[in-house]
Amino acid sequence: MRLGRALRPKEPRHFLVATAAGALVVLTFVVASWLRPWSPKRGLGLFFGIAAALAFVLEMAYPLRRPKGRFFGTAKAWLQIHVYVGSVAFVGVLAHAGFRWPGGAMGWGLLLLSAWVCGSGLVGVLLQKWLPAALAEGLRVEALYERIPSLVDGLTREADALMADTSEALERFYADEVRPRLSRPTPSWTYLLDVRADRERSLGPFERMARFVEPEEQARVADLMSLFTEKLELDAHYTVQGLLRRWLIVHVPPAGLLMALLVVHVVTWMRY
Amino acid sequence: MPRGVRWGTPERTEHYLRPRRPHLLLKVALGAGVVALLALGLLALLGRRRAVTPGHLISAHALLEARCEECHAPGQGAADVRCQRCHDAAGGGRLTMAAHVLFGSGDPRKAAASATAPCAGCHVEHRGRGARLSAVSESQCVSCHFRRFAAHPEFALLRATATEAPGLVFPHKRHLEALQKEKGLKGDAACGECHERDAAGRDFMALDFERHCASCHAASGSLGTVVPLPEEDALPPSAIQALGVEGAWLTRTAEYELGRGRVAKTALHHRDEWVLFNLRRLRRQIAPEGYGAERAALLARLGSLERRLVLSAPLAGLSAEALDARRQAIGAELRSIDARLAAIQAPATAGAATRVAEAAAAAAATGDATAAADLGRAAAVPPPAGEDPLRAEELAGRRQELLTLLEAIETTDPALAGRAEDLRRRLLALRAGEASAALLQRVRQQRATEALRVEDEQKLRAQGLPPPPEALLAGEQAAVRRALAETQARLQELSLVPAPEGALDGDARARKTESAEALAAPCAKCHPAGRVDVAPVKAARHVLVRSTFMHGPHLMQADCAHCHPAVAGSTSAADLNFTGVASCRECHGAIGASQDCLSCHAYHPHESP
Repeated sequence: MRLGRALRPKEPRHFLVATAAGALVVLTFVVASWLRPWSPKRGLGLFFGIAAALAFVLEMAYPLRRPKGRFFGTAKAWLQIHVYVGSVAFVGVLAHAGFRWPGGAMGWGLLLLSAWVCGSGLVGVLLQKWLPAALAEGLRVEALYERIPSLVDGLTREADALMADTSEALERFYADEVRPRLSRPTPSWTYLLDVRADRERSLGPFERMARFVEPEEQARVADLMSLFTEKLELDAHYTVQGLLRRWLIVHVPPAGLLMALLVVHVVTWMRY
Repeated sequence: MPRGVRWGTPERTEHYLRPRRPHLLLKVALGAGVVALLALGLLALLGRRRAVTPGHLISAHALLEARCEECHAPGQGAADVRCQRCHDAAGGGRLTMAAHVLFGSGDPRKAAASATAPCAGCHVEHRGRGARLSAVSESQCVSCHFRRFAAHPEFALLRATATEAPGLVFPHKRHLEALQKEKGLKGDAACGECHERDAAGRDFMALDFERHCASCHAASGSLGTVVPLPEEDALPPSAIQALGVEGAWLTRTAEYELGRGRVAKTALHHRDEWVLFNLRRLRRQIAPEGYGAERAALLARLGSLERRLVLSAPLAGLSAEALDARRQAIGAELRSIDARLAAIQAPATAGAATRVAEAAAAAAATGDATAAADLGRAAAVPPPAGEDPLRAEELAGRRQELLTLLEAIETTDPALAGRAEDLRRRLLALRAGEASAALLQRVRQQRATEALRVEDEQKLRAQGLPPPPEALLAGEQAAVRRALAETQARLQELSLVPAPEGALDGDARARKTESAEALAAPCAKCHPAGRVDVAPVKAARHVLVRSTFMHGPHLMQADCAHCHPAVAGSTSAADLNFTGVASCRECHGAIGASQDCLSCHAYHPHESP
């Protein structure tokens, strides 16, 4: 359900236009290669290559969207153009190569990097739509990624204060089982599947502990459980938001490499 | 009040939130790109260009992989001239689109007007060591031709209204009947009696008189006799020897009967040299223009072959001085062609007619009435109006007239023999439907291409790039040498024939024609003979000249009569006896044997110097 929502385009009109453009490229290739031998060096093959190269240059200009949303008005418009032009450009790359496997290291480098950059970009779009919705739906706490470590510190301090002057059993429970997990953000991949993952199992010891302590200390256990729950939610935020920021590492530097290979490709084509 | 998990953002912290550095990842990306560029640039500088090439070259070109400049001219891609450096060293243009069009259509004008197709357009390199450059995509063919084999037109040979004379009287019907009657052979066995498989079993061996015909037609060792002929028409062996001609055939005196000024031959061999010598001599006397035309054609071919042999030496193997000399020679040739073109395009003047009239007067003064009459007729012919090329029949007629004229000029003034020879060659180079200006333009184009090749070679020389291996050129040179030897042998045969002492009058011409017919009569049983000629034999050769057809594999699928059903009833060697493309379609198609163009056809004409 949530995946379906994430896959649904934000701007269906843009999606349709991009799909039509991609289909047009493929159709043009099919018809043109049926009529004449296809070559990346001339005619439509060359045109698609040049168009894809220019599109990749435009893609690299994406950071220009801020702070003023230059050329395209808004950052949202930039993002839409970035996503859809990049996707169509990849189809253009495939058409430029004649939908054949490349023959050499440079060809493979260009094709694989194009595929990687476009693929990682689309995965990023999916994550950006899926994960924030999952966080909003599954968690009560909201937190800025950069603030999470200090918030966790705050929770630890609050828990320390709460556990001062408690019974020995509760103190030992806190020191051995709770505080180590409370003291720092602990990201986990399981939060990507379910932001409330493992919560029942993690809170189980608190419920068991509550049965063993004096009635006057049960409120403290409940508060500690509340603190721990908040920490778990912060961990989920830390994991998911971390991914939302870090996926760019697999997207942007390869794009830089792609541009470098593109420059070499264009220069060798022009010279040779 | 117990603590609960609070909704929304927790309270503010005392920590200052430091914003991330702007465009950090972008800078990392650009940095990675710059590093990659520097690395690739460094590798290229060190000669390690494999990383930047679009793929490996085929194994035969592997040595070129580190020397991009050897094939790629800056800004021009893999230029044709670089491919031709090794693959068409003689510069014959065999690998060009024009040659392909000429091969297919036989029309030089169409060929000259054809588009160009770069070598690299079809033969795509950089597809790995094991790639086959000859495996050209079908779409290359269908961009000009039909798309499916079902649309293949009937073979041109069958579409043509007239078939080329095979130069042989050979009724299949009679021979097949004889084989059945005398040897009891039928069907494929009877065909195989003459059409023998070659050693590889792929096709048939060439037909050979001694092997396939002599057992019946020369069972006694002789093909017949030549009736007594006057010695002045058919020279006896001693007279031939006196002309300086040598050969074992002149020493077999028992085969000749001499007496009363006549000579006869009692035993006749296949390709009997005495008969052929005397026929050539008679032909030179009766139709000197025919002799002159044949000799000029052979000389023209000799010149062309010698030129190709010289050009097939790798340019890169020449010294800088030799290259420069060749460039200058081509430049001079180009200037000469330009001058001739300018002369053709200039308005006709009366000067030429005046010069012919002067020659006619000179011939009359020497008492050569025939030459004077020929020249007089030529002077009266007005210069052609307009620039429309002549039709084939018209060209043949005009050519014959001019050849006669040249023969007359040569006879009148032997000092003009060299010039007449040159004019004869030019005349024979003309093709029907093509104006001489068009021919000159084509030659100019060829020379300009040669000039480009030399200039390119000089550039490569300046860069220190090595010449192509000799082995690549050896095959082509050997083919040219073979053709050269054959042409020289034929010229030698012609040159043995003595020049006539003077022009023949009508009676002498008629008598000599009769003698020639009598001389050729035994040959004419099988070889259709003209008055003074024996037609060259073209029987049992590949008639589908634009395709490669191997009988061997096809005979595994069907017997001879399946594709040649009419052969049993054929009474003429001119009958083609095959059913055409329909019989191919029985097996070749979308479902069945391959129907791709390259199964049968080759784009480039075969090497045939």
